Amino acid sequence: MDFLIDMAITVVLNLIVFVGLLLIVAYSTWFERKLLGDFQLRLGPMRVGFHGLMQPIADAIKSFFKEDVIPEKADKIVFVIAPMLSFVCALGVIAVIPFGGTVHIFGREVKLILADINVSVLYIFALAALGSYGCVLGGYASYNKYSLVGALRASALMISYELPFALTIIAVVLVSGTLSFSGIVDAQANVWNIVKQPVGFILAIICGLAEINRTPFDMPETESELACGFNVEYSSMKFSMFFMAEYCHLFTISAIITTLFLGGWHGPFLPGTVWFLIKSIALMYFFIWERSTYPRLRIDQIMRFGWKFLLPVSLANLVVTAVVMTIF
Amino acid sequence: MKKGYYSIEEIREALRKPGYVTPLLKGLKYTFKMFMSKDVTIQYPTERREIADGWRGIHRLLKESDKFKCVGCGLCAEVCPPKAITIVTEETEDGERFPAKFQIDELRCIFCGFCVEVCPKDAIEYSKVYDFVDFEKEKFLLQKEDLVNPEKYIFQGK
Repeated sequence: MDFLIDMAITVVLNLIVFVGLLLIVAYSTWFERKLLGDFQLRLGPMRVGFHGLMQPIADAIKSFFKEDVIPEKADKIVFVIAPMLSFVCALGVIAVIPFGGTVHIFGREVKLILADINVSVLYIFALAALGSYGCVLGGYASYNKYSLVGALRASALMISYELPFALTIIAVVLVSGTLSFSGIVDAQANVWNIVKQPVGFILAIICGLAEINRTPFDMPETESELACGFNVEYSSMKFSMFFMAEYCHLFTISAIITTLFLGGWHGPFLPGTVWFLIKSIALMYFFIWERSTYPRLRIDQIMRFGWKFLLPVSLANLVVTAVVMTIF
Repeated sequence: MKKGYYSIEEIREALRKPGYVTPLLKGLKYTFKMFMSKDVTIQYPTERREIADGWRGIHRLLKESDKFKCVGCGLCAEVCPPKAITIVTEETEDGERFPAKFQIDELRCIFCGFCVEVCPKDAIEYSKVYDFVDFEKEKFLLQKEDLVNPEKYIFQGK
């Protein structure tokens, strides 16, 4: 009986998180369109529902009924797998992110985290690297020069920014003394990591932007040069899977940075989950804000910035952190 | 030749030049100011802008004590450059002339304003209706009954 209750709790928790994540993904498109509109003195979506609140649902229905085209010369299997890979990897990250403290259900202590594994940091790096394969394979399989160049750029971006991101996070791991996310959050109960790692926070935001291919670094889908990059040939649900993966990344990178630097779900007065959402959405707001502000960089500028600036700075950050941690 | 030190002026000059970080923060500040300011777009069919006086919308035939002011002289039809106005004039028993048919083809009309200017009775004027849309050409042939109230052609959405 105990076993059954445990299982039921796990299943319900999973369902809640999954549905909640999908809702957040759907509504982050609305959030972004609304905010971008505000930044550009427009209104954004207004027609569908109150202030366009039903817009994501309308978009979903539309993309379901679109014609699904596969190019004749495309590598069909890879072409079909790529968006799924992208989407699943984007969704999977949420499993290791603690989104609240412990709650008591049926006399049991339930941790509000789907999988409290002790190598969460490795897990998210694995999934992030795997998720980039979605772009790379999708671009390669489409048999289109634009998407191929987009895919090449995606892989170049991944290689150059995964490294400083990893070094930055290793510094956080050094400060917290654990690889597990719930451990990192517990270590921040009193002082958030942003105080101990201010440089690391900025580095993580920059690398995070590159990691999720957002605006100053949106090389894989430069609209003006590559006509949308790696997903030119995709249509219908396959395209919207890439699209959802992108917005899922937007939320998960916010959640990861919240967990690593902003104390996760810790905060006064309000319940942990609310704090977690507030912080993540504030970061999402920042990502949309900077998107409306900055132009896209050129690929060589991005590469130079990544290798000649971010990598040394993150290395120095790591070394300084390590030395300080050893001495004190 | 490169000096081994910097003068105060050089340091000040360097500080005046934009660096790498301040322009980025300035950009963020500017967009945030835009975020806080009021949106300039309006919700078109429900909200509308003020239309200036003297706007040439579709025509209105004026009535006086329930009768058309128009006496059917045909001057407007004569002066109309694209020949958009068709008038058939008839006479009542007491000798009063009235337009039996008064039709304006709003697709042919170039909104030059000659008909309004030439009318001796001031029986025709421009309304402020500018968004008359329909699917069939015939719907744009407006008869005198339609021209009494052009406001019914204002686009309501859908």
